[in-house]
Amino acid sequence: MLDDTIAAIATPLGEGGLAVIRLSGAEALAVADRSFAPAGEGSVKPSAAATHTIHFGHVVRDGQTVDEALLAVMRAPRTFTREDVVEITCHGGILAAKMVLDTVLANGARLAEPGEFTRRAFLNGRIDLAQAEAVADLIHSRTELALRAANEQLAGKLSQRINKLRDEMLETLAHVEAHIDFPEEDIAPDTLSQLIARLEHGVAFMDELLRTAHEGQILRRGIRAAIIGRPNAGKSSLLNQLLGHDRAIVSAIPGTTRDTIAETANIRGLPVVFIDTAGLREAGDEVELEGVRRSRETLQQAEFILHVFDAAEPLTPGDEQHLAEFADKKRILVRNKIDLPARLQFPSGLEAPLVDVCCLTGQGIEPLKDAIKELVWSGEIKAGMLQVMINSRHQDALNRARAATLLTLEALRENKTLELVALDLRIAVNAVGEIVGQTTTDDLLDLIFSQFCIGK
Amino acid sequence: MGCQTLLLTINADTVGQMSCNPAIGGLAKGHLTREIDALGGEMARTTDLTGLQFRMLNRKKGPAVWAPRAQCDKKAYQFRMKWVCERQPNLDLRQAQCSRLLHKDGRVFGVETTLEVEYHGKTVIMTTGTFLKGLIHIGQNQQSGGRSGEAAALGVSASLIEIGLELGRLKTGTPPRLLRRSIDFSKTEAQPGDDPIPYFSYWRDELFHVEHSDLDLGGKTAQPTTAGKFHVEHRVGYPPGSILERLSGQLPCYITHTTAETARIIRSNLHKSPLYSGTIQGIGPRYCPSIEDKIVRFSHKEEHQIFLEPEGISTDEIYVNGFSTSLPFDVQIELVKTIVGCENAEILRPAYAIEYDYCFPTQLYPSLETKVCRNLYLAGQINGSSGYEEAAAQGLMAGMNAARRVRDLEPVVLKRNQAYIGVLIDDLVTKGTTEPYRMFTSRAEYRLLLRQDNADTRLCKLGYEIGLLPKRHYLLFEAKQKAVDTEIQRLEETRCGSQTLAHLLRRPGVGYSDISSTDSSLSDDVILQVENAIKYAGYIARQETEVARMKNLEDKQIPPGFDYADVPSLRIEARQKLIKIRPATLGQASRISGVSPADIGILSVWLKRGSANIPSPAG
Repeated sequence: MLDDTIAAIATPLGEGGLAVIRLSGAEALAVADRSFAPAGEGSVKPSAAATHTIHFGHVVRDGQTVDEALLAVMRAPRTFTREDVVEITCHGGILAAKMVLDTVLANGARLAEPGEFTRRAFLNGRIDLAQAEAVADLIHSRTELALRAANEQLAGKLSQRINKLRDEMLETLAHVEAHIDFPEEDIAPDTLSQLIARLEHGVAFMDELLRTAHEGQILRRGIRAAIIGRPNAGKSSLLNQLLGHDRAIVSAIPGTTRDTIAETANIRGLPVVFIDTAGLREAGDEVELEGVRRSRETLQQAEFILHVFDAAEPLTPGDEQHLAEFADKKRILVRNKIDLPARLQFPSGLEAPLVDVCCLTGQGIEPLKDAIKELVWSGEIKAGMLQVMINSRHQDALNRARAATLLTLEALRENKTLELVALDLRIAVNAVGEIVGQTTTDDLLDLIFSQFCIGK
Repeated sequence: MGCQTLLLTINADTVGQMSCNPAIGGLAKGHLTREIDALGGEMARTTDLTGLQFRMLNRKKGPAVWAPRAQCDKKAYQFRMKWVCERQPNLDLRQAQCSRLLHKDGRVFGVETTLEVEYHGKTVIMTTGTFLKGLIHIGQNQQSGGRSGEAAALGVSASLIEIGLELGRLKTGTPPRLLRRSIDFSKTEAQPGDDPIPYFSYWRDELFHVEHSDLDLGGKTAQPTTAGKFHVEHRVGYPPGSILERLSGQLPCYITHTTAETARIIRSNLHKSPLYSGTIQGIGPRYCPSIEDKIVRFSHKEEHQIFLEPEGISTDEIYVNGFSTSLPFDVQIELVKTIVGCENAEILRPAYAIEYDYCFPTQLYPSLETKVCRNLYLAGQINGSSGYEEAAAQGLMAGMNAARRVRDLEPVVLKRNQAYIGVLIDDLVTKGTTEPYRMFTSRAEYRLLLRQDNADTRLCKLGYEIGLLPKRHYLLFEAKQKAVDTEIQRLEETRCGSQTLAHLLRRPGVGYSDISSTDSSLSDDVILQVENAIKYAGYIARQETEVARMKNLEDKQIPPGFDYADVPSLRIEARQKLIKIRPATLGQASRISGVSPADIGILSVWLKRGSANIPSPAG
């Protein structure tokens, strides 16, 4: 537990354009070898590299390039943890970092517990006594947060599905174990084909869960933010500023954006899907009418709204109507075109945060990003890094469960004896149990005694 | 170990008397017995000499889960145990009933008996079985008693409470005993013993070549033999002085079953069962339910399997395995007649349920010493366990550790990857139990390492070093181990075509005798260990990797006086549990329910902080 190889995203949430994935442990270099293809003439694989050197190449998973990256090799003991350490620097933002993390986890690293790098550093004598208390607090606070996030998530559908999977696997294990521990009871034996069918069903179920976990609802979808405002207030320009490149068609003609445009941007490390809506106004033609209808739908799904106003124009009845209409939505009021003479007057009593920007120059965009991060992290929108990390945990555990179940199936097909079948099956059940925080032995015995009439 | 020891028992004739079925072994329990043997304990040897039927269970499964089981002659077993105690140097066997513990300043220094005699000692071990405030139930009839026909121990519970121990109540039960001649065995299926006989003891040659007992079990005194000492293949007949020798073979047990009539009678009399009327408060074991429990809980089963097992060769009492009940005697008489083959059966002793006091085992250190009272050790059913083997294992460890205390030595604590005994005690003192705790192989996470064939490899060295295993046994073990190691090496190195012999042996269905080059001088025990080590090699390596992964945690000691209140950031539940259980190692702490990996992380940091001699920052 204390000396396997661990990995985690080491950079703070979404600060900066780069992310660092750190690996530590005896297998760190071996894991790096399996995850990283060095590029260029005379390049060497990580385990052959000298200590404290940096290498360029690609993070590769199943033959597919995940990201371009720099990989730093630091051999023990001159490292943060005094173990072999590898740091992979990749593109910032959760998506890239998460995919690199997934790659190293798939190649043999274990997701680090909160504070585990620091803990190892301390245990290996790398950091001194004065820091111990801080470490303990760190482990504590991160865990509390993680637990809270986990509970929220586990209260939902995921936990139902995981529990169902675990129940099925445990039941199969109970059959096997009952036969081992109670040979003299007349327990109707499961046929080989029954056991295999149940386990194959389990694997299919894991695959399905892994698929959803892999796509990761939050990651796939991000946090949805709708950009609204009356035509030509500068919604598309704002989107372009947030994305950092020209994507939406921008013109001075109202109603240019005829369809909704959704783009994912990395806002302080959080995946935010910005949906540029067609202007909310009385439509002039059929196409526009459709655009408006879609905009309304988009608004229903959005977790928050960026409401854009033209600072150079007085509030129109349309603006007022929108302000009233979305009073109960999470929103940020964005006052665009502040380079022009101000003629906009907001009614009093608006509680939403207000940010001034100029989409032409980019002025105010950074403060807007801060405002978005603050809004998202106030906890009222269910998303964020923690849940993403929890997903990695689930994924890690499910992958281990799947591998062990496949070994179980192999053992069954090769007609191995029951105690060998039980060994891998138990590893699988334990791994699934980790996700929902359940241990196996007591539940297993409960199940055996409730299902089989034991009592010679 | 050389300590002057006094053994007090309520009745000297009942030392080693088996209250329930006189059977030793079975799954996990057989493993425990082999471990006790490897540590120098007596149970395996006495079983071998007093068994009337021997079987190796689970032969169809892999050898890791094979388990020896023996049906013993009840009286022969207990009288041999008594004789062993009488002959044991430094041990005084005395008939007396302990009424209270003598203690001062949190230390025990002796016991007082009901005759108001005080015995003083440096350490005291309590093994109370079902006698602590034992209450026997047969229907609505309740009688104080520790076992059928024996008085309960009434004074000691109060003394334990006064010391500061918390007691709970458990329940167990036993079936009726029938008269052999009233049973029609032709309607049942005979279950013979195994041939060759799977003896329990690792020192088998001694069973055959050393005079064991002056006890005349059947008029035929054991003849000292001088025949070749270690030639297993020349072993003929049965151990001198054994029950088997007297029988010239084994006795069968019989398998039969209940009928629809059994279920009908139970259903119509359920209200008379103290279990269902609520009279019994104690919690019974789920793995050994009463017949009324089985009928109610598994109503879809039309018949339940029953084993008819002889209690001995000098008695016609038959144990009705699987038929434990607390229904009234008149219902029992009716009930046994519904079992196939028992239509005219006569009950010699009625079935009963018994409730008794036990001490929550989380109040013990892994050495089995109580936390509240120094030098006081508890073992067996008082710790919430069930079964002779579980009790014997604890008795052995408690005795060992009490003796080591007297000598000012550190206690011996077996690890979970080392022995079922380690699993047993760790489970009890770490998790506690709310039903009588029985060992199952599924409780052991390293099942493939803890096999019945290799208990000697795991434990003999320890047994010898602490002074329990005699030197002659240890030398035999060393010779055997050397033979095993040499043969494994030979198989790994010898090629047959393109493959090693070990490689061939690893194939499913291939046994040692199937390979082209064997060593015919090897005993069956050696061959079995060689086969297992080679066939399981991949799996064993995986389990050993897992053990190594946990080693840091298991080895990390937590000082006895460690102050959990001092550690910031522990969750409240974890802190409370840690303060209560006071685990000896981080590994033990990690197994406490309610202690999370994060708590273990914090603890490990704090322990390091405590042990590191880094000067603390200014102030």
